[in-house]
Amino acid sequence: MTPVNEFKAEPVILVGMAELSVTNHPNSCLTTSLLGAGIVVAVHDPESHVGGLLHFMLPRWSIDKESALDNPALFADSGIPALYKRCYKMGAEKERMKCYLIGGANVMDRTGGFNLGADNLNAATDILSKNGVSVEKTWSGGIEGRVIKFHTDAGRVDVQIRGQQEVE
Amino acid sequence: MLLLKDLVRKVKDLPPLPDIVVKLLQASRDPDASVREMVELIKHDPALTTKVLRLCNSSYYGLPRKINSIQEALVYIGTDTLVNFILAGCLAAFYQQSQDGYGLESGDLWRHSVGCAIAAQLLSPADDDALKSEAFTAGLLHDVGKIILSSFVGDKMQEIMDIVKDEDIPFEKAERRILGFSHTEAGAQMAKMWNLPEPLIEAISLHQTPQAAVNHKRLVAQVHVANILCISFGIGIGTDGLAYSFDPSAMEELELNSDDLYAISVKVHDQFSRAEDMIGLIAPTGHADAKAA
Repeated sequence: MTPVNEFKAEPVILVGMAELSVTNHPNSCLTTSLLGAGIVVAVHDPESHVGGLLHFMLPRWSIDKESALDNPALFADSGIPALYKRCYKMGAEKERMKCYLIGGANVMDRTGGFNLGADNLNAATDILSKNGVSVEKTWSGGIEGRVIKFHTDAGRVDVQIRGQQEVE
Repeated sequence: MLLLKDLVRKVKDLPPLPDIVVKLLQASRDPDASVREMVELIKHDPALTTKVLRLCNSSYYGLPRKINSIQEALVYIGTDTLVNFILAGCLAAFYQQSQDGYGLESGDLWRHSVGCAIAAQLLSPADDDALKSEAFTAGLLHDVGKIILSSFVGDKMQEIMDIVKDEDIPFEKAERRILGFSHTEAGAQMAKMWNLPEPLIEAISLHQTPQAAVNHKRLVAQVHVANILCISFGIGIGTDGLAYSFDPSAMEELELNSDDLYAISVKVHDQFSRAEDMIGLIAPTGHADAKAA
């Protein structure tokens, strides 16, 4: 006999730095380790219920080509195509997919010698725009660490700043 | 506002740094100290011996055969690595608590410190084993002051962060204004009371302001850049987030540009991922045993 009001917990998938994960479970939560200058690219197709998260570290695969071949999720320009390909394989279609960007915080640097967060954000927006993808919403910059929860049921992104209770 | 005597009292309340750490640090810096002397120091501590052998036989090193003695361990992994491991094992006990004042959960500061140790070591010249070892140790210790200041930060964190944002100044400056001390100053005070070597004291004290370094510019620059990398990658950061200044003079000291730094970041990530095993092994309270079981 099927119990009334059966509760099914939302499966939680942790996506660490330089990792990507894609699911077609209609009710899962993809979450990240703490984000600094790295960027999370979250994508969602509401029809196929495919959702994916990429947490990349660095802007360009030319920084370390050998490592990019081993793990495309390290870099924006190797990780983003890999994320989309995985989503397509699970039934997502580009025209239906929504894309969100989160992260790209920066340490204080008045000389412009080390702007990893900005470099990462530029690399991500550049590759997405070259491929005709418009970004629905971006949470970026600042000096705060962020934690992401991406709910694949509705494609909702919760962004929490470390040390604060509110969720954006 | 904190006074120096408050800080000294707080340091005295902490468990003392085990004798073996200070002795090993001194022996590792002494060119006349023999491997035999190092073995003698370690082998009288059965718990430490067990942990060292477990580390040597872990996947982190992936050695082709089983290591059964401290003597063998020293041959395979080298004196410097062994000293680093023992130091890390002893320090882990201090780092395991959450530092609530800084918004750091249990284990966060430890992960940040291990990440910084790995990065600082990787920033050393390939042929300078002594500096590699010293940089690793300095990386482990650079934020030790947060352990004692955390309880004083308490509900003042918001006030400190408001100053950071309103005046666009780095965290440690706002911290000093509100508390009377920054965590770098508190850490240097701890290091002095623990009789740690002078290069480590300078690295702890000046890792946020490397241009002020006098005697150990290279070491301080390595720890500064390593810390900035770990903060940037969100490794064990708290409410202070990325509110720290990057000093380009450190890059000049290390003769690096930002592309070099990005390339080193990949190596840091790789080694840090593999070190998760080591982090578990040296955890002081049951973690290692649970993992081994």
